[in-house]
Amino acid sequence: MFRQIFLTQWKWTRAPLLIALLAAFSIPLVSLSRDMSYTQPIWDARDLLDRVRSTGVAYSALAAALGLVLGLSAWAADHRGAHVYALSLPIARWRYALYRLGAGALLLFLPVIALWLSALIATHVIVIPTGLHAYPNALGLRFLLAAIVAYTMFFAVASGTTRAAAIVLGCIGVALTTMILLADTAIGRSLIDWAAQALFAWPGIFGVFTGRWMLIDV
Amino acid sequence: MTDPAILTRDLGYRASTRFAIEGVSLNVPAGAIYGFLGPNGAGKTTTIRLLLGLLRPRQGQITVLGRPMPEESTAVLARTGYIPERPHLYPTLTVAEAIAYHSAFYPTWDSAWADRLIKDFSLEPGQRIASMSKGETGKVMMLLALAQTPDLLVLDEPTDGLDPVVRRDVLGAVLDYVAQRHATVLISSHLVHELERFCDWIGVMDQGRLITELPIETFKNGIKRLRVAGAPADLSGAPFVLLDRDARNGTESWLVRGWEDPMRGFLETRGASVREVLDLDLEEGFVELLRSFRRP
Amino acid sequence: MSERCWLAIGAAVYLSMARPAIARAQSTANAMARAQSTAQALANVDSLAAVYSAALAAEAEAATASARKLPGDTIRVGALLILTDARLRDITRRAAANAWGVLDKMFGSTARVLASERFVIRLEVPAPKNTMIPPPWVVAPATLPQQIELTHLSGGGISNVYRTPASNESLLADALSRRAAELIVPTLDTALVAWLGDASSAWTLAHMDREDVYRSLALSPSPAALDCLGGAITACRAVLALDDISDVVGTWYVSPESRRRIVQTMQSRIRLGPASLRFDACVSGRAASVCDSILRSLPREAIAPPLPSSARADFMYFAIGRGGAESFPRLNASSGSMSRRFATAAGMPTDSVVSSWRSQVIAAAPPPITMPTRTAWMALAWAILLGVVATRSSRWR
Repeated sequence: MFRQIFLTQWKWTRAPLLIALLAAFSIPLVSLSRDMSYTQPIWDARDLLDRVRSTGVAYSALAAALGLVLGLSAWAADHRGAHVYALSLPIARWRYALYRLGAGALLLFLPVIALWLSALIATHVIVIPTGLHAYPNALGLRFLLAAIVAYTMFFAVASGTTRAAAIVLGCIGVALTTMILLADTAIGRSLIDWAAQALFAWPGIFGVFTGRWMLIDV
Repeated sequence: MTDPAILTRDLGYRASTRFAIEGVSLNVPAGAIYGFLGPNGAGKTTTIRLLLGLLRPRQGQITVLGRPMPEESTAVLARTGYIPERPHLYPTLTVAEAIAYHSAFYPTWDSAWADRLIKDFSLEPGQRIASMSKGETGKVMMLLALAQTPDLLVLDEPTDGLDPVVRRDVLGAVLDYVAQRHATVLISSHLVHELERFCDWIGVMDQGRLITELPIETFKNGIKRLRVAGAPADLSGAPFVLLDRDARNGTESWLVRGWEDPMRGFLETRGASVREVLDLDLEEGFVELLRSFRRP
Repeated sequence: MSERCWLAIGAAVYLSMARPAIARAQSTANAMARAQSTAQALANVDSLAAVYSAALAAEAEAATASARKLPGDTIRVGALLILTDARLRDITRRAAANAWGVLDKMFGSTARVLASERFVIRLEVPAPKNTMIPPPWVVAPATLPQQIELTHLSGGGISNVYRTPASNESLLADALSRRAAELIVPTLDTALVAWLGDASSAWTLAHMDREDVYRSLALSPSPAALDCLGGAITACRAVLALDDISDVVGTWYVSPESRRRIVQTMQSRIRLGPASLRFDACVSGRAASVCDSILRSLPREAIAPPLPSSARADFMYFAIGRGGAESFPRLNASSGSMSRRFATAAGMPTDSVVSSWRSQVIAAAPPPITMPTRTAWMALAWAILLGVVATRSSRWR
């Protein structure tokens, strides 16, 4: 049962997954491509870190995009058929959702593994300056967690009814509008600060996306 | 006496402010081929979805294959083959993939029969569902519903839009299956003459309500058109049900239900005489039934 | 002790009396001055002692009366005298104890200069605008100008204010330490201040971050800094400028690429008028000889050192810590090269101090920063929660 669900999900997402896989494999290599031509320890650690830092945002963006695509794709076919097929199958709803969730999470590992391998290769090929260290494992783990958070979030939103999704999106819209309207007031600034803090600082849902995504650092 | 395959009591569901299912009490006998008739928008599809646990009823009880719904929907759906009104299969899958996917959910899946149906229906296993004609998609859905060897087949407008050849193939497969497995079939359609050939029970829905439910022979024999001369205005105490009356040229045309020939005597005691008794086919009876139901 | 000596002591004691006792002391002193013999003077010493006691009592009484006018309590810890709001008394006492511990350990007897200062910690409610310090409270440890009466504390007139959240004891201690260190700096030897550079004004005591020093060393454009990290003590001495360096360009920026880089970082100072062409030739054209000539045309002081001042300050504190009590006064009073002065302060050879400092810096290398553990766990918790929400989605459409 799970195998068949996994296969359908693979079929629905293989094209974007392949693109994500290529992107995940490319980012670490591209970020260090200039440094691969050095055979001696490169002296300019700051330059290296600047390049690594500048590509940091690509990891979080890719993780978010991957989560978005996989999360929504998992339910897209069922949404098109108004969930009639899924609901007419002899399987409890929670189990069906769990299998779909699991299948997407497994697929998520493909780009994560690609990124991790690429990071390992890139950091082994270049000569890292004294004082700097490579963190391919930590970066891979962070990418995995960020992608999983994004995936489960979009999966959860997509698993609901249109009404539930409308309520969630409506609340977000009202909150954003309120913040924009009150942006110039003290209350508005406090609200924005509070929202940013609640979402992006620990233990906020997007905490894993913030901070430094450094393949190489001191 | 065996339990009915489907039993509902006072079923209610509000789909919108303008449409609701109200007080539907169905009784589909086990082993019957039950024709579920009604015009478009009568509430047949909604009722079927309620029966299968796809919608939550507002009131009433539903029992399918002896189990309460929707509480035990998983167990019931494992023994039920369902073909919805609109194609519901994942369009990106091929026929073979759709079969593999579907069969994984049914322990009772009959692979040999599925292979035979692929041949009988002239299906191409590698063809994608999205690229299939409506008839081919209908065949795939029928294949999936039958090869899971269900005790109950629920077919919602299964032949709608199909050409006569495909229609014959599909219905033929259903009849084969019923003959072999003695399954119960609930088949909804607004193409009444199609059901006339093989249904043994009939239920008629209109405007969210079940108008009538009875064996098809009773239905067909019970509704007659009479030409009556000297028809009395008062028909109180009549042993039949007068559905419609229309006066033309001194004689009246009556539509009655529950007519039997000895009832002529009742009319004669009232000074009337029956000039002619016409049998109606199912479609005519259905139309007249609806007309009388809708008359204020 | 000679009679003259006793007389001198008596006079000194007399002169140190508090104001309320001056009138009586004055008449006593006049009487003493009129005394014709040493014996008479000696007899008056007892009388002077009694007067001195009275003066002390009067001073204490005056201080108590003054304290009654204060907006809050007065706290004395070591040489720190702090006037504070009653509501902040407990947190101030703890913060002052922490701050004095740091100051005493760091500066030894030099920190006694603080005894002539008065610090004020004031409650500000609500928080003023344009500050990043979050509410509820903001306090300001500041020194109080001597000419301002304590009763006037509610208004302005207080300079050099640090604002910290009142609820954070360590930040309050840090603010006190920083303010106190600023007051100590003017007493430092000029050569030491010059060596410290910016660190002497931006004194960061309580939060001296050795992790940042590691970062500075690792990211320095100077090959010597990387050599130091790699274990070359001579290179460490060079980047810390402990010895007199005749050729700073050749010592700090030995490679052409490092010279290009340091020219680039000094863009604001070099790229002026006609020099901009040479700047471009060095930075964009990568002409090593141009970079070299630019650097050699600059005065020694204009060439950016490989490490920031904070790294030097960190080294200084490390050396002081090694030298034990009174090592800072020793450093301040010593002369010669910085290398020799630090050896004096630390009580060990300079290379040993440098080697130990380097080890400490390397030990303070930041851990893998990619993600804190608790963030990872929280991400996992969010994923599980969202997964549960998804599996609980309604089957009713």
